[in-house]
Amino acid sequence: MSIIVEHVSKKYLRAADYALQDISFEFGHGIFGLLGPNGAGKTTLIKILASLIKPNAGIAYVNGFDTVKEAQGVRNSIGIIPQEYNLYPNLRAREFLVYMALLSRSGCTTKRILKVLTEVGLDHHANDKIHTFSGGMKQRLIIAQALIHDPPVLLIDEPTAGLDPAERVRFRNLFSEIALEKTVLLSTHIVEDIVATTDQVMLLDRGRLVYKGQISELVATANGKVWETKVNLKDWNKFKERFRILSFRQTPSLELIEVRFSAAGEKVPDGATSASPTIEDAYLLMISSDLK
Amino acid sequence: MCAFLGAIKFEWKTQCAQRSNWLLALAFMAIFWLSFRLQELPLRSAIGFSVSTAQGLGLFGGLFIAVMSVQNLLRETHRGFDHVWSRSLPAKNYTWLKFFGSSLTVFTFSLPTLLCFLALLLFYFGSGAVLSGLKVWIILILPTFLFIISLSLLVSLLIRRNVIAALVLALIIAGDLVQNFDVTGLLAFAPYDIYTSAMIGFGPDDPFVLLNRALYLILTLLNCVLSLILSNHCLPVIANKKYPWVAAFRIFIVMSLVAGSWWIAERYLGLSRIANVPANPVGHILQKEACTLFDSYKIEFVLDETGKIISGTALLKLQPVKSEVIIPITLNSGLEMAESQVIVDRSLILSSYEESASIEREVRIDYRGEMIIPRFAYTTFYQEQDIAALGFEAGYYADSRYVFIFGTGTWHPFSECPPDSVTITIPNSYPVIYSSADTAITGENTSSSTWSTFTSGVMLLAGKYPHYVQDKAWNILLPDRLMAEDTQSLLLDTYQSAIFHLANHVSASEKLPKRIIIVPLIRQTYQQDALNIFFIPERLSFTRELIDTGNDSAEPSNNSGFVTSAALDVMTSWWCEERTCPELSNILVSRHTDIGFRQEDHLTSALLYYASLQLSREIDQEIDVGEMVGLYETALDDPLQMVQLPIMLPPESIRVLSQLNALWDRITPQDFWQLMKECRNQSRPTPIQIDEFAELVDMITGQDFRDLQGTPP
Repeated sequence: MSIIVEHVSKKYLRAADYALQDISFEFGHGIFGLLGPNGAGKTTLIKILASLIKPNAGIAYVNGFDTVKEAQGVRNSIGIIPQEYNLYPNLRAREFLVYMALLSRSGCTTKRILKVLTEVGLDHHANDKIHTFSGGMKQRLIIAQALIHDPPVLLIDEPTAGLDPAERVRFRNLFSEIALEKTVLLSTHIVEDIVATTDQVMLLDRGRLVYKGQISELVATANGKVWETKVNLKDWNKFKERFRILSFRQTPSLELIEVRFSAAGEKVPDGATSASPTIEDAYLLMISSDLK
Repeated sequence: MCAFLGAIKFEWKTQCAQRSNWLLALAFMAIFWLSFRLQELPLRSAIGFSVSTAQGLGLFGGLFIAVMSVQNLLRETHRGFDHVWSRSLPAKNYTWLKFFGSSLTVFTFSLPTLLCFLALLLFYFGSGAVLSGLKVWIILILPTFLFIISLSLLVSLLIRRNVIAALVLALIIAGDLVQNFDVTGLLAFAPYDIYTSAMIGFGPDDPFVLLNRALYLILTLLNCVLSLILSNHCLPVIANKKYPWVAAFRIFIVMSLVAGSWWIAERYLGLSRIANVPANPVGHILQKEACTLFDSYKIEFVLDETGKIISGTALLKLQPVKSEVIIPITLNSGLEMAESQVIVDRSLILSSYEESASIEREVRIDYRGEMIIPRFAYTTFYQEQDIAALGFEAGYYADSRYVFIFGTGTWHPFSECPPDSVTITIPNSYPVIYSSADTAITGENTSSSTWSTFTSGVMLLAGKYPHYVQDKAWNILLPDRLMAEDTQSLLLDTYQSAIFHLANHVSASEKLPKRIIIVPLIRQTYQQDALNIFFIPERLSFTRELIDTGNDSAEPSNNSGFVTSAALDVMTSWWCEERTCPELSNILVSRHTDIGFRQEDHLTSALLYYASLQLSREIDQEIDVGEMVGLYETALDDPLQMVQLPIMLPPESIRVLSQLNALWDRITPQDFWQLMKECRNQSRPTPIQIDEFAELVDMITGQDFRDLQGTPP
């Protein structure tokens, strides 16, 4: 197994709640989706796996290395694509990659740099200064730095936030391609990114692991719980208070609202029909049920 | 190692590309150009110019480095650098990466200033000065800058907030600036008030400077070691598993270095003694009174090949005394004597005649050691008058290149008593430049000079550096490359002219010096009549005039400050008659402060300054004495004006200056100079006071001095 996490908990100093609480999972080759709302603990988990912070309890292994006791081995094994990053704007793309490779204490040839830059589509911008790059180009460069020392494990945190749809599709494809040879932990709160790249998913909510398994099984957990109906505009507020709203839209006549909802123990209103759940429905229900 | 060096290159590149860091280059350049005046450079020595610019950059450049370094050192500790920290970067690499990267950056931004400095050295002082100037910069600036960078690294790691860390550093540096006013304060990160000489470099300050610099290199290392320990704790780098042991070992090594350097300083350099050796003015006075007991006093003095260890023998024949007499021995504290029945606690004990009838009244004192030149002997900082009276007490300086033995001094046991004969033996590796000896014998390895007449005027200059200049009827000793040829002529012509005019005024019978010798370490100009030599202190005359010459706005003509200053040097040397004049230390040594002016010296100071103004008017016709007195009178109402004037005088002296100017208009120059001669005669042993002076004025000129009023401002 490339990543093994056993009963890991983390509580930050002066924080009221645990950022992670008794998390255990393991997975091997391929892409593994880490889904959860903002503040669920995804970034904390990635930092623990990257040996950047230590857990208060539990143990985690990356590529067979203990993240606390064998940080050197862990860091040689990983490439990280952080959610928030600062590049060195005055360096050229090529220089930046050489610098990062040197900090990893790995040899780095011009051939390797070109290969990585080609993989991320920046081969024609190798000698451009980073401050001239667009948001998408910077995102590609941060991926390149994670690949430059050819690590077996990639930890990716919210990689497509702020990108336009075309760029997002390109990145998803890139991750899928990378996953052919490596282990990739893809953390995101965007459900589509997970669906498009993997069927292995883990759901974190408020520091706790609420689901781990196949996407299809996650969807199945919502079977019989999702309903559709149309609600008069004047009754909408009362409806919202009674049921968990999964999605809704106004009809063209503007007098009715088409809504997907979960009854969650309440009596299903007349006229409502059972609907096939989507992964988004399942995701929302999983979080909401946890909240309840 | 290659990967680490490569990473340093990128760290340096990143810092250099950061535009806010470019301010460093501007700051260095601004500080450099504010540290000197271009028009003064021809008057300065290369080493003096190098030291003042190095001190300026060290003191204020350090502050800029600290503030700018914080942002570079803390850059990766801000959000968004997980991709950097997740690399296999050990704690030690991060610390050294930042330290060396920042050091290279500071060096890069100091390059334009360095090039300007070297160009100026080359242009004004020639290619020979470039290397010595560069050496001074490396010694003075490099440890300071490295220390500041390491301190910034440490404070940054402790605080990890840009603004707060910068503020804390600024406070630390500003606090340490207080220490910088004395090089002997070893905690001065940029030592100030270092003695510098074109002839002898840092001279007696050399061990202080080198130790201070070494100490700051060690402290730099200590800061880096502490940063290593801190980075293990507070940064997400890979901590060293054996870190507690490694840290303890590193701290042990660095602390050993600190302790070792202190031990070496104490054991081999005697630093605390050099700095704090007590002055013994009373001993000098008591010894002078006892000189009459000496029937004969002969000295043999030998300098070894290293130029450090000296050994000597003093042979005394003493008159019998009726009661016990204790004569203080003023031998330099670095020289050891064998204690005996007659020598106890560095005093010669003469028992009474009755008790010692059978004791041979001859005493032999053998001494040996390394001369210590106490700081009070040459510093230009204000000192109490009894200490100032000692002047260059040692009367001796030697290093590997240069030997200087001057008149009386504590290189023999009874420095206040003129010996009957003196024999000085030095290795032939020191070629004699000037010797006033009666006879000289050159042997295979050593040469011996013997004085049997004018022994109080013992003067021996030997070494490799100074250069001999022959000028007209005058014989001048001037160190080579001290200044441009035109400036040399200006300086020497001015002194010659002042000596000549004064000799004309004070009396034809006064001895006119035929030789000017510029020497280091002495504190005031000194005229030795027996040898017809006029000594000019290198530091005093050459450095001080620069300050005066630059104040064009306050002075009637460009050279007036310099001419007046030379005239004052000549006036005071005549007034002091081969002795140190502590009562004139304000107008002789520390001219830009009125600290220590005593009430009883106000008249003497004003009198000598006014006479020197009249003397300088004769040298330079453009000098308007009335105008200069007027400037002082203006300063009476507006004290801020005083800082622009050549000498700071207290209000009492300015009022006397005005009265003297009014007197000058009513009497002949001959009467004035007659008055000066009489004043000098009456100023022994205590300075002449206003009532006595008024009586003299009345007697010689018939004027009522008290009724004279200065020109209204």
